[in-house]
Amino acid sequence: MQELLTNPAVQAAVAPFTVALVAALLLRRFLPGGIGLAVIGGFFIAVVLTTGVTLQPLTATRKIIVCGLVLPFILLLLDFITVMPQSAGLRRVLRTLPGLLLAAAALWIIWPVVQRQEGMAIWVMAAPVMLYAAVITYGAAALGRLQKQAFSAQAASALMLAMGTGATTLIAASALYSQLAFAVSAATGAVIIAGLLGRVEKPARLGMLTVYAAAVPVTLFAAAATVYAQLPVLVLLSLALVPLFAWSLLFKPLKLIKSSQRWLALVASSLWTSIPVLPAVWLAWQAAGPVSF
Amino acid sequence: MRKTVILVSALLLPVGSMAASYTIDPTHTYPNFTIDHLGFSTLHGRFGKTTGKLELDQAKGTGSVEIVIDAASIDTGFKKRDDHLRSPDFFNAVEFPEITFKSTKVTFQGKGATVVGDLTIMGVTKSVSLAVASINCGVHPFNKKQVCGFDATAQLKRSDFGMKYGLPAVGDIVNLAIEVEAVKD
Repeated sequence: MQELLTNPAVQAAVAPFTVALVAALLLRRFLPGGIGLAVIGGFFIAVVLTTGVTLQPLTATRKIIVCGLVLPFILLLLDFITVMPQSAGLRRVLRTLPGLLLAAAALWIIWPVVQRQEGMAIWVMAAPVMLYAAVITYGAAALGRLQKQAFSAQAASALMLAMGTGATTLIAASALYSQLAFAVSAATGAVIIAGLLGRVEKPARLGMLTVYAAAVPVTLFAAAATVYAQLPVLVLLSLALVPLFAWSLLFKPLKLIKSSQRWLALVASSLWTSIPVLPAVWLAWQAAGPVSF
Repeated sequence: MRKTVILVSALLLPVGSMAASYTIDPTHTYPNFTIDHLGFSTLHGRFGKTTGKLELDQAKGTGSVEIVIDAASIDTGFKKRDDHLRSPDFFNAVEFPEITFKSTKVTFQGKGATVVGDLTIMGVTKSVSLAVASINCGVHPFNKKQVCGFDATAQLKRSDFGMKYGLPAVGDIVNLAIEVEAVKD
């Protein structure tokens, strides 16, 4: 049993997928709005199996884990406040908060290294990381707010971002970051499957909690990997295009993809959204050189 | 850590009747390690940059040592593997650039000694005991400075320091062998 639980494939895929699928099927029936809890559950079981649950010392990896488990709820609360009746100006301000929050979280995570820098080097290191966190969060939130009409785009964006992060960090950064990013990918995939198992006439929904639970940890893993490992910053630029490609699915002629069956639409959307992941993987591969352990 | 052991050993050396201060010679002080690789073979590596100081009072039989190892200076002879060892999977060298050892107790045993101290890796501090075989002191034949040297060994579990990646395939037990030379200030 111990040997099974220490297998990286079990830690990064089988366990989080299984836990998330069971949780998603239960939540879909009893608490549909909280189906995103399944992603968090899948991520948490991967954390238990890889790093264990401890906060001391509070390393960058543990900060990311804390953010991945806690921030989705805070972002959901911010989103709830945003949609409450209020002036358009205030709403615009509120909609910037999730991105700013993730940017601040990213800065907190890389702070031990940033504080050793001087002058422009601080911004050279921190700016891409914070900008990436803000852009991805803004993109995920914008897609999430589209609700049911954008299921394929939301799902494809969440999946490809997690898988792209898992692949690039595996090649050029940290196997641990990769395992945990793939775990988010597996858990998100389980929630998507659970969503698609419903009646065809009932539109599948991911929900904002799912969108945030999938986006937050992988965004921070990729961002941190540029500082704590050797992931090229250009990889972030490429991965940042994933939500944009997902957005493009909502417009003609790409909108035609949605007109087919839900499963086919998801596969087609994922393939389209994977396009910016390919150069990210190539960049990581170039930076890493030959792989051997 | 190995440097710390060396420093401690130097403290143990019967150099004089007063406390003497020594500075680690980084060109002759290298913490080496071995670890099981997937059950196939034993991987050898070392850290290339070490600094530190030791104090030795031979008359009182007391001493202390503080060692700082540059975590990023790890070298196993293959850059890609070294990069991985510097990553958050292992030493997390960007976030925790220094490995430190600070002695808490030195016990002299004939020409050798046992040095107990706090080893800190990736922000986790554990007590580690270093066995120092023979402490050899004398005048350097070329620069004529007073030098002490020794070899120290220890064994530790990397998982104790939160370094759990690859367990149990990549071994948990790390064997340390530290070659140390220190020059009297």
